Amino acid sequence: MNKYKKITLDGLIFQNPTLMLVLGTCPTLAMIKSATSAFGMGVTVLVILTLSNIIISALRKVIPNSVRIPCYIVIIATLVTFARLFLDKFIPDLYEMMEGFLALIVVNCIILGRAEAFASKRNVLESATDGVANGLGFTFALTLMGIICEFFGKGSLFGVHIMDFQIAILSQSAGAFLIYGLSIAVFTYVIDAIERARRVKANKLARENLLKEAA
Amino acid sequence: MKAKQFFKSNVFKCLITLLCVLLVCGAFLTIMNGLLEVTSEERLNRVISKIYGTNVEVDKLETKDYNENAEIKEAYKVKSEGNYLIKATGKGGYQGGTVTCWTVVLVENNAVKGVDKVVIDGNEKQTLMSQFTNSVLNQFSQKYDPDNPYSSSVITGASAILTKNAICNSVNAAIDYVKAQFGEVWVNPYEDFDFVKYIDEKQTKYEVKADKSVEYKIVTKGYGEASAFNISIIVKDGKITAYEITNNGSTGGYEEFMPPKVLDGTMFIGKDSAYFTALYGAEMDYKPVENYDDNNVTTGATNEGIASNSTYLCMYAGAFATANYQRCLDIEAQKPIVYDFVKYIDEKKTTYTVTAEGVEFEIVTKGYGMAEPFKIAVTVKDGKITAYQIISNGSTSGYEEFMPPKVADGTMFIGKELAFFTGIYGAEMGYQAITGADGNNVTTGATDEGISSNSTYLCMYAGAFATANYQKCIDKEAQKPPVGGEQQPEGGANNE
Repeated sequence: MNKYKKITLDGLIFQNPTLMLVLGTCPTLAMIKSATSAFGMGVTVLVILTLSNIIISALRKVIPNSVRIPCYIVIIATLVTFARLFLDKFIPDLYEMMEGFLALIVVNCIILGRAEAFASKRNVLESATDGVANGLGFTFALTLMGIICEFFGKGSLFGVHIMDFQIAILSQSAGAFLIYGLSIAVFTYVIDAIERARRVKANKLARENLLKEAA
Repeated sequence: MKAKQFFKSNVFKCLITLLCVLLVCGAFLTIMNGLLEVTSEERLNRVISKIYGTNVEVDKLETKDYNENAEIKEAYKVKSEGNYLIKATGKGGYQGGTVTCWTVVLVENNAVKGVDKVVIDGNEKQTLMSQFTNSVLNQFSQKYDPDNPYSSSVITGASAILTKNAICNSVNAAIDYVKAQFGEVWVNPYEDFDFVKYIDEKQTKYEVKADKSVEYKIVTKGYGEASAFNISIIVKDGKITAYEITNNGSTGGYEEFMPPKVLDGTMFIGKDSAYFTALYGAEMDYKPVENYDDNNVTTGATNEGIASNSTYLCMYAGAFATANYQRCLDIEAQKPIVYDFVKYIDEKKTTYTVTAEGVEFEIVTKGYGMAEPFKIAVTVKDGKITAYQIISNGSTSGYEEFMPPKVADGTMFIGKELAFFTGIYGAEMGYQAITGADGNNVTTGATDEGISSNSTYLCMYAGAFATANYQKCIDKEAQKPPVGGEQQPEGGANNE
């Protein structure tokens, strides 16, 4: 498989940071009460993750190993601060929704984790692809859960009222936790099923090839 | 390690790398901060857009604090409407924190008419801000009461009491600021009172009853984890005769740890201020409650699992009520009487004396129509006129003889009470022309039948004044220390 395709699929599906690796739980639980804030947080993390991966990958041969973590933190913190300034200036409504959790992106496990595990070892293009893929995977997971929580918890979608039926607990943190857990369960089950089907298919092919050779 | 070795070492390389990263990032952020800075004008425009849906022009005003529970941060007057947009930080939140709110104060005819909208701008140390949804904040516009400031008992739908207090303080401060622009500065009625540190002086009220008891509706401030209590106390002869907690400010779950007799108020019945100061000292400083029984609590240095903060506030309210009992009576005695039927009475010149024969009024009326002021001596006993004499007749020259004779000589009024006068002229004693008269009564109607209706009206009005205010004069006299002489009625209820 083409390596960029593998990086993309891993980031989006097979190693989805939210649903498979269970990283970045704090902003996930805080933001999925509403689809808008979930999507906003996802896109912000996508941008920061991509940029941090690019910069860290570009500087990977310059930064000594012993100070790599402080340097990564400074770079990530700078990007997060820039994102805060940008959102406050141009999208104040979204900034208000995410205000407390924007700063927490600095210590988001996904960003530091990908920087340490991938960007510091691969070239810029691969790191950028990894950043985009993981960011999209994070955004997708958060937005999906945000839609579920907002639709069933408040009867609305992206702020637009749809129905009066509401399950109140889903609009609160406890409900977000519930949906998160269920989403992980369903996603893991689906991926496992796909992997199992793949393995069965691969085994079948291997047996057929063996038989052919034997024959 | 020598200097040359140091500069070639890995340590130096690490330091330089880190420093360079810091400098580059710092420079980048400095530039971005300059480019992306949101000015205070932009923030104000955002708030205005949020409140009004569109940008409106405002004039910036000078800030000044008129409420100790909050701080006015910014104040603007909306040019097109004349309403005020105030940013105030309310104190008294959770863990001593604050909440900052923008309040739109509505103004009409140079007076505060109400609150249009409240928008939360920020907070410090509050953890339950999510409870304050639009449905909670909209109550500020729905429940405006010009005589009573907002409180946590008025605004419902959020259980975070302390945060709610801070928001109410912010909105109240905004209203006080606007009122001050129109000269309505709140004068603290408890300025010279004892034990006011934990009493909400704006919301606490008292009333002196005819039996010389004082009924207090006390609202305390919060203390520690406990928030404000609402307590009704009646004090007579310096001792508490009734005590009821109408709103318990204990933090959720702590109410059951209060001494039961404090909770139901029975511990305080019969107690005076010495009881409270014996427990907490002459200054009523806080002490934890170590133990309690039916009659007393024991205070000390350590809290033994009893709701000490709540108990302290209840005790403090009791101390306030008992310590200021005589002061309330003295203030009440100095207040002028608010009289009924004063429209055609010259209150400055009218006097009364309370004697054994009843209340002797010397009434000076105003003029009415063609009639000049009358001076009339009226004596009232047990609500009925016992003597009536016109000292100075204000009838226009020649009209005196057209007055009903029994009105002119006063005999018509002997034995009459207020119902007689209101039966003729109505409950408001509005003018009516005289259509006929006999020895006991006059009849009124739309047209004057040649009788001195204006003069008769003033005489009747004086009678109504005397009989209606008889009991008030008796009560006022009872409040004063026994002195003789004339009592001068001065103005009405607003003359404080």
